[in-house]
Amino acid sequence: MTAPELDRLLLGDNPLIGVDHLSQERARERQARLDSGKVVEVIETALDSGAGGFLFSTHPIIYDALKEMKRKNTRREFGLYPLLPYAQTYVRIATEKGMLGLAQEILSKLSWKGKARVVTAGLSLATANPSAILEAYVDSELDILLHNVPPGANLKCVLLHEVITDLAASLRSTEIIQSYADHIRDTYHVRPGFATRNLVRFLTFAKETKLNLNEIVILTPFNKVGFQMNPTREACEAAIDESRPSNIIAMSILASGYLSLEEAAKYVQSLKAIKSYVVGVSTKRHAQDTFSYLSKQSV
Amino acid sequence: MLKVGIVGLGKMGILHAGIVSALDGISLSGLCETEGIIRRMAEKLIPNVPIYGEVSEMVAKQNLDAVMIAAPIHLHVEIIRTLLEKGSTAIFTEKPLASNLRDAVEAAKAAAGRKVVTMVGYQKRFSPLFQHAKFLLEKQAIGDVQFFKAYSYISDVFRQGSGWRFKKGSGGTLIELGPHLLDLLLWYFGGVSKVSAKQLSLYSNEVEDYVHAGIEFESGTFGAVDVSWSMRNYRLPEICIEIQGTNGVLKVSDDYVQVSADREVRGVVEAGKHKFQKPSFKTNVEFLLGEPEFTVEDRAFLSAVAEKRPTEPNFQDAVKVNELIDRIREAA
Repeated sequence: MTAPELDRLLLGDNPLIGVDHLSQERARERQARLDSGKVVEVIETALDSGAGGFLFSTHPIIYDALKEMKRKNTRREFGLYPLLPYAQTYVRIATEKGMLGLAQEILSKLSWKGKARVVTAGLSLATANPSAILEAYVDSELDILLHNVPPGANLKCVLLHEVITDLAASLRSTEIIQSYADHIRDTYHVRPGFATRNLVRFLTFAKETKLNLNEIVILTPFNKVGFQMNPTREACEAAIDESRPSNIIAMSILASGYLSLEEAAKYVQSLKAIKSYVVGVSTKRHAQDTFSYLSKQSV
Repeated sequence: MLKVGIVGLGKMGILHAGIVSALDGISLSGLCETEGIIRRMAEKLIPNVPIYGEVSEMVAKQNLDAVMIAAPIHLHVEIIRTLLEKGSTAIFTEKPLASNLRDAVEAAKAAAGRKVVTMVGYQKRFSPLFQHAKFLLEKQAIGDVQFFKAYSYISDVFRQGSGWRFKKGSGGTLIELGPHLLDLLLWYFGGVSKVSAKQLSLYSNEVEDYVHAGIEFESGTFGAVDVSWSMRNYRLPEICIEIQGTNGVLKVSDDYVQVSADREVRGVVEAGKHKFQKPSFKTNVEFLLGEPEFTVEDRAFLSAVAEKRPTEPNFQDAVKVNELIDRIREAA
């Protein structure tokens, strides 16, 4: 396996696209001020201050920012960690048009490469193969992303959104998860990643599904108050001790801003199994302070 | 093992299927979906659970302890009728219970006659934040309630939409986005005496996109309520209720509970302003999908089923929401 190793410190995009798990009021204020120029500034500052990679959803403003960085042509070595799909868009379509409308919408929005894949696979809604639709969707998203990679940036892994991971883990949809993992490894030569807010259950499911815990990346909340660590913080800590997955990226380390950076860093660094962690910042200043501090802590 | 079946594989049906399937002591034993393409996809994704095209077939073939309905609102009553005829003894339905008061009353009466355990998906009642606000109100943290203002918003509809949510008789922002907020207000303040209302259609031809209502409760509490799915800058649905009382102000939303008390209420609140954010409440659950209150809700329903006892919010509670929706519609 020649997949690239993960970076220790990652910049997250939630505050940049108007997501805030602590306060929707704060998210709204930020969303009203969204602008790809500012996003570029935050990304570049975070990278220059010690972040080794960028973990992001495929939100239009993020694509705009990456395009802008590519155009500026300043070389920075950093890892790209896309999280697919940008769930909120699809939840909205599902609400309005139902699941059939959603499936139709996904197929209609595929890039030409994705559509070509659909044609060659003889794929249609009538044949209804969800694994093939997911792969075509992933190809379509990555096609857009890989056309907009700034100089020096490299794809490190492709993460599947927690809504899909957690549903699959609960309903034991092993086939779609296996085929996704194979597809990411074989087509993009990077580690398949899974976001989850149910780490304990996911690890059990991963073993049933014969996912290689030394290969896959797991993005999951870790913070000292146990916020979004299900069923409990203690159970999540015990599960990583027992299963020893090699590539955990801790998210929500600040419990959405409820904890201070010092407290947050101390906790994640105390857990040996955590390979990387991701922190979102909203301004240039915030990026500088946060990543200079964390890169000094991070050995 | 309690055997559970789910009707409807839309967004909410999939959510409940995911949660129920992860709960200890519960077996997801049947799914029902009328749309053939979705059914075939689900069969590939969920190979361990039988999927049916008809509710009557699912209940005939599986000896289910409980059925959860997540079909379009206007089909709820017909499905409930079928389930009761086939002898179901526990029924959960997504909110609201029905598209109008007449259907809601029919469903509640039929279920009450057969001593069925019922619940309607008003899951905000299971959020620790809205529960804490209820506790503060009951313990007089802000004294006697004088008035309130409340809203339920999302940025969803900025052009003509398609499907039953945009059809007269089954759709509109009030029935789509209003029920959770109205249920919380009924839970907090009790029975309603008077209603006035105004509505606007901004993007939809057949239904309203914005509703403003003035609601007076039997207790004398009065407040203004805004509901809209066309509110800008609300990426996620958001509910907020701000209540003024003789001893201060209480504000509750999905993110925080904030209370300002003029004087201390012993054992309840100290004088001054206090803000409790989500991470300060226990929100860990057995299995998380969407928001934690969905899991708490499903567990509450299924525990009541296992113990064969009534629970809340049941069909009777839900009738009150449908009644209030109809009164707001009439007044608008």
